Amino acid sequence: MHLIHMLGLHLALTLAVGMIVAMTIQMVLSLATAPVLGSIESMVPSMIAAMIIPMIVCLFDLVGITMRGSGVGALGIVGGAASFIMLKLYAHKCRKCFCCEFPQKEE
Amino acid sequence: MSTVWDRRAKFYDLFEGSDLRRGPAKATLFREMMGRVLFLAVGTGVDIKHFPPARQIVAIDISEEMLRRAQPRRESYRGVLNFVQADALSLCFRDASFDTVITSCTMCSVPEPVRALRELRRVLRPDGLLLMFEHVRSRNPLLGLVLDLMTVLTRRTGTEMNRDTVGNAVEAGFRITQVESVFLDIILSMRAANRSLTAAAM
Repeated sequence: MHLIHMLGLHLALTLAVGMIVAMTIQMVLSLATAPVLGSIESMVPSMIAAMIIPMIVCLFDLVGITMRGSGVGALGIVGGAASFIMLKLYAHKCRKCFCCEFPQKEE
Repeated sequence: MSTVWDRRAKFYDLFEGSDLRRGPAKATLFREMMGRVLFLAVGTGVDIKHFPPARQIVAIDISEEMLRRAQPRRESYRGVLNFVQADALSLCFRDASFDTVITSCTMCSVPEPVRALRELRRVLRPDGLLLMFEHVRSRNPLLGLVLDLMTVLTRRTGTEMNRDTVGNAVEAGFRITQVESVFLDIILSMRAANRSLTAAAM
């Protein structure tokens, strides 16, 4: 996203192109971990990170904060950790929801 | 359709063979198979190691290449396991001929999932059990959007990431009795009963 931003395109175009590029890269990277973690289990969290973090870079730019490479890298690490925590919490919520909806096994 | 899966057979074990999260959940689900069992889309047989021993199983797949690659795993199974090359949309089995029907990551790939589920209902005995290990569209809007975007790419290889398999099973006439989360609300372990039986029992 940062590299796309450096091209000086319109913000909306930067956001769209940047997100597509980031998601494609993340998808390829997650395929590398798929044999261990599973294809969906590795791809979905990667895609979440690749959608949200580029948006934040653009949002910062909108409010006048232009990030440098190291800042974007740090944001990536923080965003990745935040995505991980968010998914952990959501996983817990899902387990609880399904337990409530389907309380017991039918014999 | 079978050509797509013949091609995918080469890479199937690499991307779908992970047992870290799915293995224990599959083993728990498959433990419930009883009587005469129909296993849908056995692929290269990555699930066979999770089958409980001493069962009588007919496993089908649309791809001849998948079944060829699954042969060594079939031979290692301690029970009766027969392979049949068949399409889930038109099964070559009599009505009510199975006690348990199992799908494992199948309903994302069948072109007409409701029709396929109706076909499963046809071959399942009225008091039979449907067990499904499937990935579906998340109910979370953000995760749902991600799966929609991924489907744009994966559809070309025969897989849709954003299907409502729970809803499709209900539409086909099954009654969902249990859903467990394996990964978020995306990979689910489900049990379903034939709705006509439930209605008859009331």
